[in-house]
Amino acid sequence: MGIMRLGRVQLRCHNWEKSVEYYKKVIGLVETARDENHVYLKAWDEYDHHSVILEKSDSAGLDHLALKVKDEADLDYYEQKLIEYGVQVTRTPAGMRIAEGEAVRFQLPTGQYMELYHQIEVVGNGLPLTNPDPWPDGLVGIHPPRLDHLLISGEDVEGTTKLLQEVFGFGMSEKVLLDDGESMLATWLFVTNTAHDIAVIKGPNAGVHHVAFYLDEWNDIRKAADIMGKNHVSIDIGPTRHGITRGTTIYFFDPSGNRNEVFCGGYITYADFPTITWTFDSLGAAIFYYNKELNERFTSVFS
Amino acid sequence: MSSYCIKVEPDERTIIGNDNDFILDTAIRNGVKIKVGCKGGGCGICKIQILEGEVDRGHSARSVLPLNEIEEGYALACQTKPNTDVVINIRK
Repeated sequence: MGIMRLGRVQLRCHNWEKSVEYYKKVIGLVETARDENHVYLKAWDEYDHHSVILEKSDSAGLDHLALKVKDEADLDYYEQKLIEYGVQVTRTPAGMRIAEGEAVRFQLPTGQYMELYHQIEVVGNGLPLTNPDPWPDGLVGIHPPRLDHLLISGEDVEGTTKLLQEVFGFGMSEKVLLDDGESMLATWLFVTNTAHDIAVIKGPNAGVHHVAFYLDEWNDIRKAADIMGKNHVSIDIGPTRHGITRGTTIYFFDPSGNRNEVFCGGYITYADFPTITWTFDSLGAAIFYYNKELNERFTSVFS
Repeated sequence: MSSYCIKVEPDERTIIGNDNDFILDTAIRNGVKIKVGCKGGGCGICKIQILEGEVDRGHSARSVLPLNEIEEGYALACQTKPNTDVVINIRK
């Protein structure tokens, strides 16, 4: 029983053709299905049918994020917990999206729609389960092995943080305080043993700051920057390192203006991991450890 | 490819752009200070107002550039190309 991981994100893209091509050729995600207004994608080392859904839209932004639960019975269990917590819950029917089973759907205090699901078609990672090679042939672009995390925004950072902790058992690896020394500017939350699966920051309600893909090594970050350069991708900042999570990173934008990240490293967390705190006056180092200052774009651009 | 004059207010400068280049890129090349955001038409940071002339607004997210603002002449500089000589206002 329990929440296993961030399972998928659905992103709205208004520059449709270019965005689909970018996620397939530059990021190097694998297309597994499409319909008139959606393209379903997975990172190469994921077994499930998709972890990213692109939606043809007149705007950019996050349609929803979804957590995969371990057992089918978890849907009823967490639905009840949400109702007891005071959250309105609906169900997304099986088959509403390609390859998906039923999902529990609700809205976070920061405005994003979140779903919980168990069933999804399994397509594999292109390698046999017996005596596999380390990677399959045919990988293109940056080809991250997996979707890693996302940073969402809203006014009620405390509210969303508390819900994720109390209802779903997320731990808090890090937090940044506002200059009053008490209220939270942002929190980093984990339910796997990575440094963060979902982070929450003060900003526009229902917003998304970035969606991140994992890379294995620092050299992969450099190679990713080369690929971005070759493809004239709009880079926000990086390659550099975060103080928060210690991860190395590049932030950049898709053709519709959704911010992406490639993230490498970070520490391992367990249920007994203590929370690290950054004070407001150290925000520069917290976000960009080398330069120790923020760029205005990083703090003001959300989709 | 055709070149056009882009008169920048309130800077009172005129720069030269062409119908193949986004106004934002032309501005950056010429040291004109328009804020740079996502460069994908999704965030609205580079919003300018077209005071005179015709432009192609390209792919601009409706959520940050609604129709009423388009009617008032607003455009996202990162997605907009001039189709004639234009006068733009880069300050809110």
